Amino acid sequence: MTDGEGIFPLSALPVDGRGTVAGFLETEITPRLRELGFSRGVAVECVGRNPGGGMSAYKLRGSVIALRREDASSVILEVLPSSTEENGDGK
Amino acid sequence: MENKTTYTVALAGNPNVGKSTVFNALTGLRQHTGNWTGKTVSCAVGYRDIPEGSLRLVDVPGAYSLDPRSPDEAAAAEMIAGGGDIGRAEAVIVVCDACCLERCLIFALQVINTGIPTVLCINLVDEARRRGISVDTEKLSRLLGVPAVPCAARRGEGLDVLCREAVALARYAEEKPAVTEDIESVSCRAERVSRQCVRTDGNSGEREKRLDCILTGKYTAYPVMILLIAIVFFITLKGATPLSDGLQWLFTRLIFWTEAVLLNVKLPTWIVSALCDGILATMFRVVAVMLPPMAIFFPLFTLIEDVGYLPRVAYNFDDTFKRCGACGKQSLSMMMGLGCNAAGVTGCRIIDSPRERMIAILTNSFMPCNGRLPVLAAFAACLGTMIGAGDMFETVAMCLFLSMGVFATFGVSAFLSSTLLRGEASSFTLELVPYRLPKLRDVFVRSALDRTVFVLGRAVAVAAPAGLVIWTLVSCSYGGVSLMEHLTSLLDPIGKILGMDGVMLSAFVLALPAAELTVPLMLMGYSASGDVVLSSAMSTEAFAGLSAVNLLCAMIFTLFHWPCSTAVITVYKETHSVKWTLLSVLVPTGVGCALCAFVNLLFSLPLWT
Repeated sequence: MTDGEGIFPLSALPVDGRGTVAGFLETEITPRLRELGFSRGVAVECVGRNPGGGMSAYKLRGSVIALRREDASSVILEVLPSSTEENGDGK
Repeated sequence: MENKTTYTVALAGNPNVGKSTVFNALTGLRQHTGNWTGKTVSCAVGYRDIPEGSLRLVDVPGAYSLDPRSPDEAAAAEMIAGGGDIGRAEAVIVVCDACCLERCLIFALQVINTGIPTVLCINLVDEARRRGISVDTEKLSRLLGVPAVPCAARRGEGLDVLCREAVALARYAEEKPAVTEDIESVSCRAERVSRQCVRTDGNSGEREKRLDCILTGKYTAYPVMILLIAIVFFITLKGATPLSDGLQWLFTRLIFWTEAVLLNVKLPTWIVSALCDGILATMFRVVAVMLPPMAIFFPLFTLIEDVGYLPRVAYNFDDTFKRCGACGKQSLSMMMGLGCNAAGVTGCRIIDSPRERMIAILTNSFMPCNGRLPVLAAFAACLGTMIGAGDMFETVAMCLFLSMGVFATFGVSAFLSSTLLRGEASSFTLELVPYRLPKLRDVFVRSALDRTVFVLGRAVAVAAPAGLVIWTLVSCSYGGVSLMEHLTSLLDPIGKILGMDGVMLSAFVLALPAAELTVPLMLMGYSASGDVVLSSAMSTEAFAGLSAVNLLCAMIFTLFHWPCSTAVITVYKETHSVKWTLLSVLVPTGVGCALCAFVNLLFSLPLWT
């Protein structure tokens, strides 16, 4: 993956992968996601998957939210160059 | 000089921030649950007196935003932002979790924007300290323009200061004009403020990651869950039995004593009998059988909830439920149903989608509650003795039947979601809360007290009238035969089709108010005396006249039949619909009748020689 490239849905983030929220697809769940802290520029980390694989856990703004794959695809992430900064998580 | 004025203050915040702990710590036992008039939402209201004034605290339902998405959140918004018929609070305490302050600030900022006098309670600072997180509450207060009080509610730290701030606000602060700000801007501000006030050393969240590897891992998640449920079950049943026996012993003596006293006072025998053998015996039986298991199961369940494990259960099960057209959170209402089906039905509120909530409500009675488990166990023990099986039979049978209930839940949920309750899989979010050590003693005391009140209330309201009805049926005759026998004969043909008989079926019918009455009613029906013997101990010799098929069908019917009256009333309260309440009765009954008739037919075929 080259620097700056790589716009992908949250559902495609592998476990232990990190990214920054770039935007949203407006769906039923998007307003709720915004309330939970998903907003442009926020750093997100995928911290795990459930046994069946249909839900994944995402850490952002210090808390962990689990989403179904279909719902996670409403959030668009990007991997910024040198995005290994501790930006926003661990708070 | 003490100020005697009472100020109404709302206690708000995100879910899972320890709001209940703050509420309970502030109000102790001076609290009650109230219904906002005209709304379906209930809330807890409590009181706390300090020299500066009295607080009337309203525990507003947890919410992520003031944008109402459910009746709960709408009521919360009305209390904070005004504009409804609930009436606005005079001040708000917003409880925030110090470990995820940034997310909590999103809600806090929305509350501040409404203009209502606000104080922030930065809770769980002890937990934050343990994880290397520190919050500069003074700077936070300066940046936001509202007081911010650090607290550790489960240790009682910071609560006095919090009260004083709240009262001072309610007393002196003025409402400011509301500010409209969109959520993106609020989120940005939350991040900016948090970055300036929160310091983290090290990676908090390590504990969760390590534990979740086991608790939600691909191969370990299910075994752990099954083990946990088995342990809870084991402790409940083993702990409850001696307590139930003890209470039964005590109550039997109480009835003898009351009987003697009343007869001494020359009350007519039939009144004494109606009172003692009918009303008191039934009430006491219900309390003796239900109270011990409930007083053990529910505190254990609350403990698991407070530790933070429950969201993981919903997380692990979601895929299975999704395939049935339902939601992972249904697993939680099912677990509550194991304690009490009425509580399970109320627990379905956590499911956001109305369609999925209804599926959960209609299938909740497939989980045998604390009242039905002893009935199942009694039949299983009988069956085991009859077919000459070993000691393990009862345990194996119980496990088998519990699994049957689970599979039935999946099957019927899938059926409902492709017929009566068709729809798309819903979207929902699940917060995997941080693991915390709850205050054991508080959890146990409070939960046990709540359940005791429930059981006693039910004994008076439901069991007492039921006892009178049963006594009347047994003691009154028509045409030389007791009314009870008329009932049994009437139901006998249907009973036979279902592999049972009239006595068993009547027992199930009359046990509508409380499943605990099933076995005593059957014993009464089979005993030759025709006396009301509800207070006698269970003896399996009375079942000697039954066949193995009878017992098997009885077990199946115990698992799948109409919910108890309390559960049915709760369904109506939750759905406000006669149609769905009727369905909640018909669905399990239908399954039960079908299965029993099938099993009966199967065993009556000439295949078994």
